Amino acid sequence: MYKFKKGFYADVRIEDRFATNIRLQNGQLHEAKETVEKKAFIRVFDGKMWYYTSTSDIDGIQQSLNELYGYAQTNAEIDKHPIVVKYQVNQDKIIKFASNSVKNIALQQKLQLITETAERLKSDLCNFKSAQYLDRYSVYEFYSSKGANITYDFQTCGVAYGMAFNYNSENLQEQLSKCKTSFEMLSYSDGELKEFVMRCEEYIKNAKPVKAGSYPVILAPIATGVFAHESFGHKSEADFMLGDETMAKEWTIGKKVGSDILTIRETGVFEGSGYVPYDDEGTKATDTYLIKNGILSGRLHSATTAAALNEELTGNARAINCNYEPIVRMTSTFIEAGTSTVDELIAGIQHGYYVHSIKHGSGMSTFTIAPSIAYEIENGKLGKPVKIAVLTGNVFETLGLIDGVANDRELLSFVTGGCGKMEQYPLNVGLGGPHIRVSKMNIQ
Amino acid sequence: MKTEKIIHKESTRCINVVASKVESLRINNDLENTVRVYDNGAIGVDGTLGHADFAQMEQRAKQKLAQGIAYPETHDKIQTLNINTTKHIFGEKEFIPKISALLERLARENPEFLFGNKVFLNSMERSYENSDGTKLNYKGNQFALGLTIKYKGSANIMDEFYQGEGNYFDEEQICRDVKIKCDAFINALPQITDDEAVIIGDFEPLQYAIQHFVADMYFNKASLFDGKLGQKIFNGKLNVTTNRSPERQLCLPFFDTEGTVNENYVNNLVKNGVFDKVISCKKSATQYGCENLGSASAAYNGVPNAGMGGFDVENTAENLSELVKGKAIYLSNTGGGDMTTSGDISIPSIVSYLYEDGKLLGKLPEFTVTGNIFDILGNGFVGVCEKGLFEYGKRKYFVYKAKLVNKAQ
Repeated sequence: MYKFKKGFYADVRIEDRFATNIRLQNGQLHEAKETVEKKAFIRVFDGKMWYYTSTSDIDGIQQSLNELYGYAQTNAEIDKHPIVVKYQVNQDKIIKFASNSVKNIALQQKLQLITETAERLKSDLCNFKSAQYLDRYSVYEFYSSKGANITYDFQTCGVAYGMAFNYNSENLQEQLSKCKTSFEMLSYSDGELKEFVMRCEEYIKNAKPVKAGSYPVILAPIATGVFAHESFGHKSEADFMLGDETMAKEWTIGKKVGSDILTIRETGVFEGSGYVPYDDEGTKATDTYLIKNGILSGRLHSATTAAALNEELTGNARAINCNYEPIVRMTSTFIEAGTSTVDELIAGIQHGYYVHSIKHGSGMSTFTIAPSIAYEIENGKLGKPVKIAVLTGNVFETLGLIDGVANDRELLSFVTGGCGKMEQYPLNVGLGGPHIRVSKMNIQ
Repeated sequence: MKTEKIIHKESTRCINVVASKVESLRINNDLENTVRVYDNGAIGVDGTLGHADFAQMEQRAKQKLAQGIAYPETHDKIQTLNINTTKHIFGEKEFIPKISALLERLARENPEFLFGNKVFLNSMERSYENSDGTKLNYKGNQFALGLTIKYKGSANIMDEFYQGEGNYFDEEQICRDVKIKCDAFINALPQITDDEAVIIGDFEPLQYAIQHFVADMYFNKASLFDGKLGQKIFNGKLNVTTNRSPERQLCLPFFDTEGTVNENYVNNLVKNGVFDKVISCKKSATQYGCENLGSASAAYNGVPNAGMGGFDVENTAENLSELVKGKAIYLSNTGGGDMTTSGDISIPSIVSYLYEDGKLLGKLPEFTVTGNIFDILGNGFVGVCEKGLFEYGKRKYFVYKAKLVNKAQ
């Protein structure tokens, strides 16, 4: 396919992306576009430094590759370099979505779906509604100087309905969204729409402030997923450990890092927004337990980090698109189900809070989750809605404070937003888990 | 019928830094082309990457008029403006040697820390033309760095961050700035006892409120500021603007994506504490009968939207020492704050320092900054300045009073 020069490692990644974006505001069409972009990202490694470039001129990839070689220095021993040795040489073709590709569905049909659904969302407290349809069908190709030759496809489609509620100078913006791999799965029943509107109306009419402090908290699956992703997922990305002996000692596999009932898993094998059968270095997806029964069991790698830490590849070298180099990123991260029911978790709290939906989360030594809709828990029962700006906790402490895990795991996909890491945002990831109970979190 | 043609060229050289050493060089040369057609109250847009055939693009844009996306066809003052702010920073071949030397020095001067992430050398050119005869062209460049700073004794993925952007490179200034942070970081102080403090930070409190200034939100009664347009609702010293001045901004055209050029490149959202204008584009300005703020944005193949390019707050003082008398807290690194439906803001502090007399005295334990948006931007607003703790690049310090809660010991 491409002429790779001896004395270097090189690879070429191509993404042929079709995407649709339709947006309505108060029933009026604001955007209806189909984007077709084909771009390539090219990497050359000479054993000392990496050199990267990107191009939308697919016919000129060979020329770009040749130019990139000009920056690097020939290394006769490059094939023995520990990073190059790590690279898998997979030859595979996985086309899963071509037969029901969103490319084959008319723009008008997609517009009709959100127009009709948005019309069914009604509230006297809402003056502003938005509706968005987003899809993406990508075909990825990957070729390396070691002989890798991989083709696979990816598809997600989804809808997001936003409503802005206003009541006595209070303002609530809430979103109802769904992301699937097939267009046919994007509809909402009348019951689902009514339940969403009623919950928002009840919240804006009755939500009361909270007193800042530490309380027991129950997280719904969406919040559990964000917690797993932000609190521990990012810490599992091994590029943060490069060159830092303290990090390596602190994060020794086998160390106790959480409560016994906590298991966090990470894998790119499930269809959805975290589906990554091969990462952007051609590594096949694996199933990695980050924490198993409270014990640190694994971490996420690119070839560079796996070679540096002398561990196995995990298939987590990813880039948001062909403008960027792959770095260590998550795919789908979730907490495994436990044995309790949600009612049992709630019954165990005298005074605390329940986080139903969230706006965003972030995490370093301290993680933060910004709830959208939340409720108080009084005497083991769900109570009135409450206004919480953020809840925070120290990552290391909080993992040990999980004292209840329900049996209702959900794995969620998303068409809006995504994961951000330094300059690369947004990356499509999946996340989820069951309801979990944390004995203490800071509420503001 | 009116047509618009936009060409956007961007060149990026990006060094990745791992464990205080240069790990890679990335070369991106991107070209985006846009044609928009306005006719009979509708818009059609076509965009391409790389080489473009504009005649074909115009044909495709005309075909998209049939989608029926409503957009006003406006005819503004015809202007021809060409501004080039490009400065010689250093030659491309010097990029790796200069950054290698910088990193070596940072590592030597701060042996307890590791540095990572990105350093950029960027240039961009954007031209806008319309069928009325307006021709606008902007060229600019910048050096930018965003370095993660990790204390070698810490189990965190990163502890601090140093960011700077300028149209020059000054190793001395950057090294002095980074050393100020590193020295303060290793001097751990006890938790502050006061429940209220003067906070030195960035525009974070305003960022949570920004969506409430958007025309679509405001005129549909979905804004926290509902009914308050034209009223003084904030401190009289507060001036929130969109500022596209070539002197103020780096790699930001002086015109928005619809070719709007504001007088002196500035327009006010908040003027002397009065909620003066909403965030709008030509469409929302026409729809709601308000003034166009001139800060529209769009993807290369997308319909323009009300945006907030050039978001700024006007200075109220020359430097920090004028604004802060006595002790204050410098919020260096915060983690994902937000605002409730009533406007109560919470900003978790991850890394903050005690500040006094122009210096960072040491690192404070974690806490959360909290207050209502109307208080923080009202009586709590102290002021804004450009000069203070750090020397390299363009930056602003936003100073306000707020409460401290959930204080770690």
